[in-house]
Amino acid sequence: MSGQEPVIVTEQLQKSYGEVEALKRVSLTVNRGEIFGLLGQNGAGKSTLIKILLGIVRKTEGSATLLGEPAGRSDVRRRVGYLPEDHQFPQYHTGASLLHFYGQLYGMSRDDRRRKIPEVLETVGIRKRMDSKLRTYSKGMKQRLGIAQAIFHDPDVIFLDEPTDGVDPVGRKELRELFEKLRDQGRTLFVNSHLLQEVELVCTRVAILQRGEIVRLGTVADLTRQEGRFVIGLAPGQELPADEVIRLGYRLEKAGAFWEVVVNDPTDIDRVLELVSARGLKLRHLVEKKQSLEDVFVRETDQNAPGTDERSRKQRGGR
Amino acid sequence: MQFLAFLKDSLREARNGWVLQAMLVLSAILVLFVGSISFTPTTVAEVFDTPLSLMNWGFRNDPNFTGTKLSIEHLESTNAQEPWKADYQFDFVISAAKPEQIARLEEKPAFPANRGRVEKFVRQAAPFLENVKAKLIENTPANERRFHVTSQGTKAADVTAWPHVAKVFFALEIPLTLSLRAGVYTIENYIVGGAGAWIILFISVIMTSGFIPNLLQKGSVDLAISKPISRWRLLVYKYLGGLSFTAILTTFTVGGSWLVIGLRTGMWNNNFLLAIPLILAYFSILYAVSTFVAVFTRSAIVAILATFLAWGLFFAIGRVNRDIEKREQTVAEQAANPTGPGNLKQPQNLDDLDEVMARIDPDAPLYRFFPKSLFGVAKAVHTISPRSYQIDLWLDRLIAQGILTDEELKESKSNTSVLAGWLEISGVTLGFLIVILGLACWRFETRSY
Ligand SMILES: Nc1ncnc2c1ncn2[C@@H]1O[C@H](COP(=O)(O)OP(=O)(O)OP(=O)(O)O)[C@@H](O)[C@H]1O
Ligand SMILES: [Mg+2]
Repeated sequence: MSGQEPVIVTEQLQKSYGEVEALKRVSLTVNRGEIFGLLGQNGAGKSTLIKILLGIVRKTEGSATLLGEPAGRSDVRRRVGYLPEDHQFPQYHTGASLLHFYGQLYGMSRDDRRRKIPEVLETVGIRKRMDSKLRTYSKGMKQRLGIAQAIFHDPDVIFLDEPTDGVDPVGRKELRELFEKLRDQGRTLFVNSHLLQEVELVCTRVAILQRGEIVRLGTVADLTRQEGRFVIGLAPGQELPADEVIRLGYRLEKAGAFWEVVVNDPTDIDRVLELVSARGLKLRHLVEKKQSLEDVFVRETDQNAPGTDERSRKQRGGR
Repeated sequence: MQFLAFLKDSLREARNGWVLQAMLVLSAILVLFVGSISFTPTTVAEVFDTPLSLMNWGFRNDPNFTGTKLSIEHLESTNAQEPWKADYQFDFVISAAKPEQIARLEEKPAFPANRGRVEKFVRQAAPFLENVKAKLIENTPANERRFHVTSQGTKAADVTAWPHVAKVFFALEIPLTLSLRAGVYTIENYIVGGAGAWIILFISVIMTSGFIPNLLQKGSVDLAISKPISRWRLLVYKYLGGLSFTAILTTFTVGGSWLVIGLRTGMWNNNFLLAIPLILAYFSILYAVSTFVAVFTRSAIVAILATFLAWGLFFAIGRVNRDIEKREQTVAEQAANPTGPGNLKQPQNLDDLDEVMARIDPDAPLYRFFPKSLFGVAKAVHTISPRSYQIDLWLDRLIAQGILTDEELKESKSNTSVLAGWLEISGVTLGFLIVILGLACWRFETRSY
């Protein structure tokens, strides 16, 4: 992460809806060219954070800036695209007329609109339906239109709240490619999602929001690495001398044909490898074990978010 | 640019579900109805038709007068093309079966059986004729009485003052003879400016009530706010979008009526076109209330109900205030001339009644229940209320001024009201709009969605 140019900055950002504290002192920086993923349980405050940045929700305390301007300034939104969750487009529009209307609000010229609108609808795969009334659109088509209206004016920052909601698997893959293309063009994407595999695939950095607080923040690789847990495989028929490893002070578990060794420090694995070669065993397989983002997520979000029902770890069958 | 985009969007919203189209069809029906009303100048013969046939009907049913008949004969006019410029002469004939019947008719005090009474009868039946003279023709048969009636000139300066017969739906005759002017005034003031305006306002309130709650719906307000436009502008543009809906409707209805009335009668009352901005001004007050309530409640139904409530309230406030002012005028006149009788007249309506009451007892409650102690409160409330009632009065007044003569104006009721000046009306109304829309904007600005 070099040559960083902060695009979204929040400091000690707080929001309460009466009793409910939706955000508690959230400090976050997102830089240009990132695809930033915000994860969290239902009611964790993800949408609230985006809405504050866009000026839809008024913050209670702290500061939030977008493209260097205090959040909520209307002119800065010219350079911002937004796909809300549960969006409700005016039913009296067609796909094309809606984008024309929005394009006028963004100050796009008529020529510009005539050129860009079919183009972007092509990109999201609903160009053939651009002249149908929105009430005839299916859920996924509406979602695609929502993405189209969030990107067609070439914004610098794009907020997507559950972007793949209702989109079929092929469409999702296309959208992932679209997001990567947008990032390559130097745009910044801020994505709220529950689909962890997807986030894992496209996001450069991820934050986990829990009851209005950021509990983890980092690159996907950072978050999913499990420090000091290695999987070792030996040539067929060979056995790792378990008692010797344990004597070194490490934990060991047999997992099928493999052994999982938990060392105190990642470099300690060298001592295990020395032992292996000293015993004349042949190493066939060695990886540092990672966990999926889902594992991280489930572990981090053990407690429940405001507004959702209390569930214990046991009930969830947690780890 | 953004404003135009919103305007277009609002019209699209109104056009959706055929609301605007249905409204335009409705207003086209009103214009067609107005266009179906035709006026033809009456002839003197037609004027006598009704009273004569009534009397003859009476004779037929009275055994004492069987065979008795009244008629107009040898009617001549010096100008058949323009009846309002003509001199007339005709014979007024009483023919009976027996001479005694004529004698008996002469005994009836009101019956037109002598010279003087025939003149009076003709003046009543045809009040527009000038210099009516009747002369008994001698040497007629004993069972006939014949008067030669002449008139010179008419009271009607031109065709518009001449009595006309009106037909609606192209064929149905209305049993009412009005001058062309009075007929057109009735259409413009009561049918279009009264009932038509009321319908336009009523329907507009309902149709536009959903615009702002729709905008504020969850899922659509986020989208709107995320566009590069400030919230207050968003709201004001939506408000103006609602007004544009009504502007189209009003222009179509009033403009269309103005056109067909002009084409049919040749009377182009340009003041009538002022109904367009005035109805729109009236609606701007109602829609501001609707917008205000919509921002706070996000409910179309509540907005409609509150708007109707405010509509009635502003009407009542305006009405009470006008009557208080009238009362004060009467009392001041009385005080200026304490010995004189004042012009105590036979009360024709409630307004007159209050005037008479006020002269007898200046402290009498208004409408018999609104005590004088509340006059000050009512006036204070009125001071800050939008002037919808006055706008309505002005609409009547302007239409009347555009069409009636000074004399007719004095007679017509629309001239008796105390009218506020334009500066006051527009100032207070604008102030009201700014305050109430300002509050709505403030609420919209500070709220989280
Ligand atoms: N307008 C509102 N009024 C009151 N409380 C609200 C409002 N909007 C959100 N909240 C509360 O704020 C908290 C955070 O809501 P938010 O919508 O940000 O959650 P989220 O992380 O987006 O959840 P989800 O995954 O379900 O979309 C929740 O407890 C919610 O009930
Ligand atoms: Mg959400």
